[in-house]
Amino acid sequence: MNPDTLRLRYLELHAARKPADDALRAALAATELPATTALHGLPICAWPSARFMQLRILTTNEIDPRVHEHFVPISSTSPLHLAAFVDPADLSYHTFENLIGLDDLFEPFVRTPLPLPKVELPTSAAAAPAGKKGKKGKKGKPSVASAPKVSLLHLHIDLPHQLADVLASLDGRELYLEPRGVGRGGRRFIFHAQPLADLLTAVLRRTMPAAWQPGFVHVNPVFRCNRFDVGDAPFESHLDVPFSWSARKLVSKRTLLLYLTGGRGEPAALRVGSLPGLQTIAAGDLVIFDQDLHHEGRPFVDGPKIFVRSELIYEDDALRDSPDLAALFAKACYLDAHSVFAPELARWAQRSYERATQARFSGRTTQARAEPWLHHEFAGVHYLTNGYDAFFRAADVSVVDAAALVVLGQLNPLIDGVAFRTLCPRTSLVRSTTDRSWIAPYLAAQPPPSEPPFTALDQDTLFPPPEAPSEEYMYIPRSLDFDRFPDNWAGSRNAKIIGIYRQAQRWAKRRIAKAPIHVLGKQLFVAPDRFVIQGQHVHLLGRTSLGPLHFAAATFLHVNDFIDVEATVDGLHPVLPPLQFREHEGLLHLTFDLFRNSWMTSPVGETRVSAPIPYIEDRTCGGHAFWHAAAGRLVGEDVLARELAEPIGRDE
Amino acid sequence: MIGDDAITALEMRLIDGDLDAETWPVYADYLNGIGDPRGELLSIIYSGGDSSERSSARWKELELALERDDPTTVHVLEASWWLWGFMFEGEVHLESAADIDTLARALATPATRLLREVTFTLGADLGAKDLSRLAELPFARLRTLNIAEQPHGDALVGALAGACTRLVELDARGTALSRQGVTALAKVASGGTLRRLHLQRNRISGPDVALLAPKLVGLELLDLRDNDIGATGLAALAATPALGALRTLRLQLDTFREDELEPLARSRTLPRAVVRYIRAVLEQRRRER
Repeated sequence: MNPDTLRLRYLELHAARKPADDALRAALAATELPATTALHGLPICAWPSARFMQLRILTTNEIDPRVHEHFVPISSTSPLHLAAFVDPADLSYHTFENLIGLDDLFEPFVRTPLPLPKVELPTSAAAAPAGKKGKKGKKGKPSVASAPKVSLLHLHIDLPHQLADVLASLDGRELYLEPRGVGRGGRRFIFHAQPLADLLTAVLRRTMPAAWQPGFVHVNPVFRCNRFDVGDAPFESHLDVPFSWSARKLVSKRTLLLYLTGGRGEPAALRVGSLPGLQTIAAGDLVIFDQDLHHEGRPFVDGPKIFVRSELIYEDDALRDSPDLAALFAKACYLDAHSVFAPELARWAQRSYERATQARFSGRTTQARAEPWLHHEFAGVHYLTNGYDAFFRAADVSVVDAAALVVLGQLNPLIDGVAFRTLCPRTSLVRSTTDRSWIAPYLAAQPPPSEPPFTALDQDTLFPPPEAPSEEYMYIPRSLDFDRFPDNWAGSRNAKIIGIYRQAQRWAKRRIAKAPIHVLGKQLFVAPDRFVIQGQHVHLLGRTSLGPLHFAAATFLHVNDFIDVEATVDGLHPVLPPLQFREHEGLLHLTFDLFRNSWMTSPVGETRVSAPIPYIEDRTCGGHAFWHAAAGRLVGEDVLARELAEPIGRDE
Repeated sequence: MIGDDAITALEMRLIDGDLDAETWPVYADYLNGIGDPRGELLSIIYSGGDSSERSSARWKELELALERDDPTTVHVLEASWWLWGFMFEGEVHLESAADIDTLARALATPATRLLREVTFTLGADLGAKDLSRLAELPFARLRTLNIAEQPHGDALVGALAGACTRLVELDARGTALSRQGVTALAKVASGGTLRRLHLQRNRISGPDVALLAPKLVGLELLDLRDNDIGATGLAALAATPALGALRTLRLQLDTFREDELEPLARSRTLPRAVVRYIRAVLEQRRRER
């Protein structure tokens, strides 16, 4: 099966919600294809293959125009959304979700306010708090002095026809993907639509009960479009994971569901807490409820159930970082990421998310009796982690190397095209949450590493100082077709070439010299001076093509032709919160909360930049300008020309 | 009275940058003992706070006298760094054989006892034979020798090899160094003090590297770019246990074939950081192929 046929078959089955048949599976397994391009560091392929087997939907403007022609639309109804394929092992926390930009779709409606909704069903305080469901005598008591607490609102909006049509068209765009995780029926896709969020924000400001208004900021512009067909599995009882950005004191407190189709559910289409279930729902119904309530959705019995979900975000000055909560959430995220290849972890991840959600609203963190740990091995170093804590045998690694391993495990960068996590064999274990006495003997039973996992990349090797320019006149031959190098030729001492070399060195240095972690080939290099240890914290310091030219059968030499590439080094510039560490009883214990500052819209992140390392080629036949071509491919020739043109300072 | 060995040790400490207030007064005592006016100057400077007008005047007087009587202020040897009447770093300009005599006289003066770094510039009329006389000059305390871009590299290194017994850094880039010079260099390296060796743009062959590499014990930087060392040279570097302290190895890897670099990538004697870098470059090259 050729790649185009393979892709066609894959997309046909996807559209029909049918699993891959034997022929397709066999053809996929037999097909090896390279990545077509990369997006935010994630390799993507225009065709499915043994490696790139997970469908991802991208908007046309996300894909490098040079390879655009290889991709096809996900469906005839979505010409601007292209099918791409990724290797699930390559996914990292910032590429995990397939967020599709649909802002343009809703832009025309942004100036037309929505009509005020009709309040159909105000529901008051009978809801049991999360975690107390079903327990007699534990119902929440409304405050005597205040009005009854509203937990759920059931509204109806007569959506303007055109907006209703656009919302209805979401379903026909075939952007759905099978949901990750367990207990989630139906299909869904995640999209970003600021205009839709703005419209809903405006209307809710005018209609929400007064008790829900204080602190309300906006509706989250990230929506989930869900579709359940008749007979689909239900979305089991669960808590929605709230959006939280403690640095900006923002947290989501209520879930919003906007139904695009109507129908009847048995015994209920939506059940929230212990409130009476909503059996009948109409298209245009808007249901909003507190996020600390467990809820369960069932498909309609008389047609597809299609709705979009978002949440109401509030500013809450009382929002504080809670170490316990952060740990719980960090563990959930880590387990979720690893559940792609270890399905047994999915249920644990979901429970951790729910515990984190409960804790966020109740202010109390509850611990499970047991929790999963992952035993990793990299370059002979064995360590255990639950996504928040990491334990090493202190004799095996330095604090810096241990911190680098923890960070790499979270960021999952590609090393020579292979995800870091793939390079770390993984075994999952389930152990008591409170008793950690098993860790030391467990690690003691592992073989010691034969050498440290990382070395530093020597900057003096990469960037030797330029030679002193020769005082003798040394002309550069115009073309070797009718000229030759002068007798006193030494390319590395030619003033003009040195000038270009210094610019190229400066350019490459700026990109990678300050990176705490470097990637070259299959090797990882760690710069110890970029990991600063202060007390019990480890801080990672960050940093805030010309083709051959032919004329009249002659190849002309250009000064750039003398600058060649020795290697291309990638610098990882993570912007991360510090790690904490302590050494006790022969163990090195690190804790790392990647998500401490925020989640989803986090400023935390990792930038990966490449830099070809220049060297002066003494003699050249010309016509290639290898270094400039390589650097130009990375940043674009215009950008490169501008950056190289910056005057070189005295110390550079 | 301090013995000669102790004085040499003290002077080497000063040469190696131990210029703090504890070292100088001891040296001042020795200089006063042999009647060197620098002793009095150092005594005034490190007198512990005597800033009287009389001592300040004497300080100036001594400095002027030292400057006036300094025999090194000739064109043959010019100071590029001077402290308390001592030349620490200098530039040697030799135009003729007679200049070597002048240089010998300058180096015999007390002002050059702490000379630690010298840069040579040779005139066009100076023959390789003339340079042999450099072997007799007192360069034993020299730590850094720079003969970059000078002619007669083999003769220069050959002559200076016997004189510079404590050399830490040699810059001999672009000196047309070949087997003869490398053989002499191996002799210098045998002393075990060499840490940085700049040999780019010479005529060093693979067998030359095989001759030199085992002597480079303790070397931290080796620059062999733009030499035709070939697979033999790379294999010699990969096999010698002498280069275990190497941090920087400059070869211009792009100019070698993968099979030529393979021994370096598999070396069990080169430091891990060097081996991993070469391995990484090879891995990247294979991936791009």
